[in-house]
Amino acid sequence: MISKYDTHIEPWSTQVLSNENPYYIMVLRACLGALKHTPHELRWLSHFNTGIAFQTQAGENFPGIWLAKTNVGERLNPKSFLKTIHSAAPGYASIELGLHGPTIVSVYGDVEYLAALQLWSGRAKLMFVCSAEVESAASCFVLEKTL
Amino acid sequence: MKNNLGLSSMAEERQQVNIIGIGLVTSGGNSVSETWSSILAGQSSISPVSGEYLTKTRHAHFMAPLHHSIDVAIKQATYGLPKENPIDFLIIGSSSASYRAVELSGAPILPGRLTEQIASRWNIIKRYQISQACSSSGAAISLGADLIRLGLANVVLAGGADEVTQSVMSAFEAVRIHSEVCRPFDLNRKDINLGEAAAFVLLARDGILPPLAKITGIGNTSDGSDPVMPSVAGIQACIEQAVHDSGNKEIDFVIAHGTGTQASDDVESTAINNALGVMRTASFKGAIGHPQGSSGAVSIVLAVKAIQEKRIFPTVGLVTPDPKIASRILVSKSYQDANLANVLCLSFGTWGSNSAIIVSRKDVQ
Repeated sequence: MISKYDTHIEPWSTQVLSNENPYYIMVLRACLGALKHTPHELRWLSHFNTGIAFQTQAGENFPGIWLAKTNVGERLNPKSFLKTIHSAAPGYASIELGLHGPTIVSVYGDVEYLAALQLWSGRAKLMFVCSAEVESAASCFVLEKTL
Repeated sequence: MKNNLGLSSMAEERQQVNIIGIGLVTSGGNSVSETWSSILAGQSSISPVSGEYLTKTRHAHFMAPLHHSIDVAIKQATYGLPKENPIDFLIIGSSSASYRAVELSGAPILPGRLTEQIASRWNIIKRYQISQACSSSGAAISLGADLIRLGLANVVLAGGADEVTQSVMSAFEAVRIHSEVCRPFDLNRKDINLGEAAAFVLLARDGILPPLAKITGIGNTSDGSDPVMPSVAGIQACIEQAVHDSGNKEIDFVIAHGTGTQASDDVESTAINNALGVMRTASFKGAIGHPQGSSGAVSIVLAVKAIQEKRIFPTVGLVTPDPKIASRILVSKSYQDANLANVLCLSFGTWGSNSAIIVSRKDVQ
């Protein structure tokens, strides 16, 4: 179905978690890695109304982080709250990369198809397609509408 | 037809997106008409909640178990669907799916299990679950509409469901925006009340069932600026994208995200004014609380009802309109009669994801 609209899949990039490379940084680095394989530059992303489609199953241990705190009656740190939302990592990447196109975060179902929908609908010309899990890896490729 | 990116939006090829069924369960009632009557009467169904994870008593509403509410809403939305037209896709938007189950069992349950279980019960093979904070169901419905438009599906069931859990209450407590009374667009507004809802729409191409209304415009943008503070530019771009997508339809009424926080109401009213001028606007969050990820779906169901009933519902909780906001948008404490052709539904999520959907009367071309 992707070929029907001549959507081009760029080479992908993978980043692996380490202590120096937390979850959302890992996602950002995967995006930057994927962008390097395209002919496009960071400063053009806004012009293409670039968006991000992100897939995760568990996100950043939500609501485990909250439960651990609430069980002892401790008030949460707002930063902990924000990081546990499933759209935190792609949101962080959007802010760092200056993306103003669509954000789609899927916790069930293939996000590549949903990213392609954004291109076919004409809402974006470029989409970062990322997936990431804590204590695992982040991978990313760039979809571009070529028609 | 070219959009603002200079890209062909495939408008020439796209199918009409009909809304052929709606279902809604909220603290205001177990059906669309019960919730509608409750909001129209200006009733608030929000009640006090206390707990050791809260600094003081807050207000929210707990309804029936999430799965039950979802099944009831889906049953309403799919009523009358002919058996020869199976549902091709189920798309659920939910920001806190299964968390009450996690709290009760203490075991890790992946969020996607909600959709897996619902889809299995309703025998729908293709399924997605979207989780992007409070814009989850807005995004879910816009994806469903895209599938119909592009001819990739005949019938799509899309919507949202969320519940109030201890985790969610403590999270909103953490960011200090959980209030005692929600007063959207009010001079003395403080913060939000959490709520729960299950809201679904059945979308279909022409010829399946007579339409109740249709979706004519979609906007989906990211702020790309701040995790918490909404952006005027991001919301305005989202509204403009939806209006352009609809073929520049004239908007009659806006169902705002209207959370009742100082910052969000201020930014949203500015964005609406910048994009559309002084527009009749309402928020349902003072009546049934903020149903988190299902906000967008609730807005769309209420938009269909507003078009059918020819009424703009009141902003429950509003006492003294903020003069600054009142100079940008028209908000009312009581319902108003109005023949509505195009209603804009807005929902925004933390980390800057925005959704705008235009619901049009079935005879609008």
